[in-house]
Amino acid sequence: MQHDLTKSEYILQVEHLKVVSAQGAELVRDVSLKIKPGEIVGLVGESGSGKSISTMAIAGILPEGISIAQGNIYFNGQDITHISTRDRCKINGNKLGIIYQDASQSLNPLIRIGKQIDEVLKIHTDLSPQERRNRVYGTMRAVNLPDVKKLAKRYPHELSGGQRQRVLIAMAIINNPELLIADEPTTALDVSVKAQIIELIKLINFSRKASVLYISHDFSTVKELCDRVYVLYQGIPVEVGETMQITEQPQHMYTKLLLESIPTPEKRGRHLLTMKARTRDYRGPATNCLFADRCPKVFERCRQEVPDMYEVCNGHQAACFLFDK
Amino acid sequence: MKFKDKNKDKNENENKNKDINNRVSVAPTAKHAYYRTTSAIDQGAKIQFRIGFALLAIPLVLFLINLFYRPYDTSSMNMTERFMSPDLNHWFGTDNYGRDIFTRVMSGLPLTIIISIGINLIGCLSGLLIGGLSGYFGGIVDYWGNRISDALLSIPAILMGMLFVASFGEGIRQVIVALGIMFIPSYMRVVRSGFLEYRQRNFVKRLQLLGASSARIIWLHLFPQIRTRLMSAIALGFANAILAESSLSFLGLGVPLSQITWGKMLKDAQGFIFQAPWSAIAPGMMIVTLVLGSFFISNGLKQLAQQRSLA
Amino acid sequence: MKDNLDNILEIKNVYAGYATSLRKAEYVLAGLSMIMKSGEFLGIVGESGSGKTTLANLITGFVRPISGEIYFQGQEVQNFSLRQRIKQFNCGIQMVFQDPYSSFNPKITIGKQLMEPLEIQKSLNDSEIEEKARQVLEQVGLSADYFSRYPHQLSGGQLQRVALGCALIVEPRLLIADEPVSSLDVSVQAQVLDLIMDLRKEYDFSCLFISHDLAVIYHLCDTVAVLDRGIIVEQGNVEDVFQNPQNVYTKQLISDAGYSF
Repeated sequence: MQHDLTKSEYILQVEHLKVVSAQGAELVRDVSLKIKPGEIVGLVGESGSGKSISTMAIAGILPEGISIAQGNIYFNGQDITHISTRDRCKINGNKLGIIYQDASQSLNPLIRIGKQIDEVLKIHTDLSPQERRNRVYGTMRAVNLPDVKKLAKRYPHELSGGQRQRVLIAMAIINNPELLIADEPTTALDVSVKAQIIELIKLINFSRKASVLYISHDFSTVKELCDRVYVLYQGIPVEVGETMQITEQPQHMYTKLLLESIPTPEKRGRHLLTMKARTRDYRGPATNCLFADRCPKVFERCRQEVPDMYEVCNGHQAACFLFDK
Repeated sequence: MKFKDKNKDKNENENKNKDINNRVSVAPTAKHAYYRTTSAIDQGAKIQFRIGFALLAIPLVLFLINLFYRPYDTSSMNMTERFMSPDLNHWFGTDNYGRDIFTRVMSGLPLTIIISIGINLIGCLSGLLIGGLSGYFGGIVDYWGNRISDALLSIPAILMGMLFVASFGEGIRQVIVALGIMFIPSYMRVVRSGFLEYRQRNFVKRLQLLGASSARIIWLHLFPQIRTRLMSAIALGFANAILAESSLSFLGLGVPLSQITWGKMLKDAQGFIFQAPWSAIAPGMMIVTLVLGSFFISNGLKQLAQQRSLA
Repeated sequence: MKDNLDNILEIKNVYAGYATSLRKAEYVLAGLSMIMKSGEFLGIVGESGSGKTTLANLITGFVRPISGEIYFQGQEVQNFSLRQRIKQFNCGIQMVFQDPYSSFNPKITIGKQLMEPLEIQKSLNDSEIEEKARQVLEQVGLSADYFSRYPHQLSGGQLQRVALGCALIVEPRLLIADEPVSSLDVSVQAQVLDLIMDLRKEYDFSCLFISHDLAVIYHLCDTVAVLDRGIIVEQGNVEDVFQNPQNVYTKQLISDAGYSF
């Protein structure tokens, strides 16, 4: 089997994932992505691009009424696309750590945070209370929380936003996961805290050898953090490549649009956008290039076929007919 | 699927696609319904409305018949026909004075309704005023509004009724005013919580910066937001008012002797409940029908309100 | 009267906050002073809890200062109520909020909400009002059929553009924009920034632009004030401050942002 061969090569492999809502809207159309051990992969897109839904599908936490219609997800070579809740519980929080966007809503307000971190260990390990406590303190120190013994007895509302996010990270990494999914972990945070969290994720990746899937709409943090980047547009990856390739030499027009939207010192006082404004999202099955309406380089073929991923160079791929040789 | 005509399949697919687009994305024209109308919640509300109106129709039809035709006189007694069980002549039987219960039930309706409407009119208007002011202005106004509401909540309705009857004598007006005052807090709560919720929205701030008067903001911008909720509360209040009036009449504190309401009929039947259960069942069933109908409509409105606040 | 009329806004040693008990008060703004020139775009940078929103509310009049002086167009206004300020300056201060969805009444069409500011002012007749509202709708880059749509039928970016229109339709002297682009997607944010630049050419207004995103402030504003725990720690030309920060906090903020200006 092909997938046994890939077992050692990729931590996570998603093949042609399609996620639909109960009404039949295609939230994720055709996402394929691969993460090698130790790699930090970025998933970039705007709201409605399906980046969060893809992550939820990988973590098996899709909301009610939304389901995987096609495709497979392999975690460590194991097919986890439709596994039972019981098997899922063995993976999540153990080999697969997840950091959620909103730290204040992801913590139980009535339980001391030490106990909340401890709970993850309780579920997945047979350690004695003493060992568990040591490990909780150790992990809390590892995520740079100050004064851990006191802090462990606090309640979530007594912590600052950055500290809460660190607690969430501690919960995600306490079992030394092989893959860490970070779903916009810095959105609600201040600039300085944001930088610290990014540094922390880098550190975890380095010291614990965990691969990271980093989901964000913010190119500046992706540039800092990621090795490789997938750019998503309306449920389809439009460009894949190493971070430098994507940010320095974007090939797909959508990636160019995203990058030109970011205000930089050189563009001061000038208009940012040169491309057409976004219209409403189309949720039916794709019959042509979804960016065709806004693309300045659109031609006949774009309106007739759905583009595949075409190789630009050295693993840099773009879903654009301009690169179909 | 395999044997299906290909063309047909394609057509179906296309239709499906159109459907998906219409449902998921923003409606293309203003003519499109303001709210999505095909959701499960809406269906539920529709069923509730149907049941509610069907139940309300029963007493209403009886009332309409009563306007043109009464089989017997409502008050003339006939000692030879006491405690007759229901038969073809007396559909609901007769009471201890030999009066036809069917006739009395029919003619008891208008007064019951008038009292209920009166109670809710007083409760709703005062509740709107007090609740609206406390919700919008907050602070000290809210404090005193809440104290008034607390004070009213601490008085039992029956006691209030007795107080009014004792000080102003028996009469329909006293019943309406006494119970109307007791209904203020429930309306006030609905209005106040709605106003509090929407007052914090930025659009209210925006309007204040433009110099819009408080009256304008309250009437044009806040009141429409709670209209559905208020309607639901009114339907519920209607049912509760019927019950309250009935229980007051049942205790003999309600309307004067010459008038008929269902609560009073129940009270009269009390002494003979084992001899002639029908004399209690008929007005009792009428009350249940009316109250249940109002409840269903109220519930449907509540669901609609929830649905709209999601939209 | 203040002598210097070039300054549209002048705040002197303002304390504002809330009482925690009878004797004690928690100051959100602790001795804040700043000057804003007419026609300039002033960016306010600060982290959460630094008092950005309180500052905005202080200028509009939603919050009264505990002590200190505020001059708007040379006139002392700290003792004016919200309504007095509106009357005195004829809706001279308008505001755009962070959350575009809560900035509109969900039950009224976009067109009506655009016309409402003028209806309140009562300076034009009905047909003039509608004409002007349609003109503004076009100015903010939306086609005429959005006029009869309801807020929930528009995206966040579109609503934010209408919000700008609603604020500028009364031709205010000062526009306070409280994080107007931070809840928007990158490309939508770019659209709104472009629009603000266009509107600046068409309307004559000063803008107090509050944001936590240094790049956005650098892109749009002429001067910047850095707000830290209730006081302005540094104020000056955007280039000067960002390229050569003097204050420790400003330096830290700029290095954290990871930009090189």
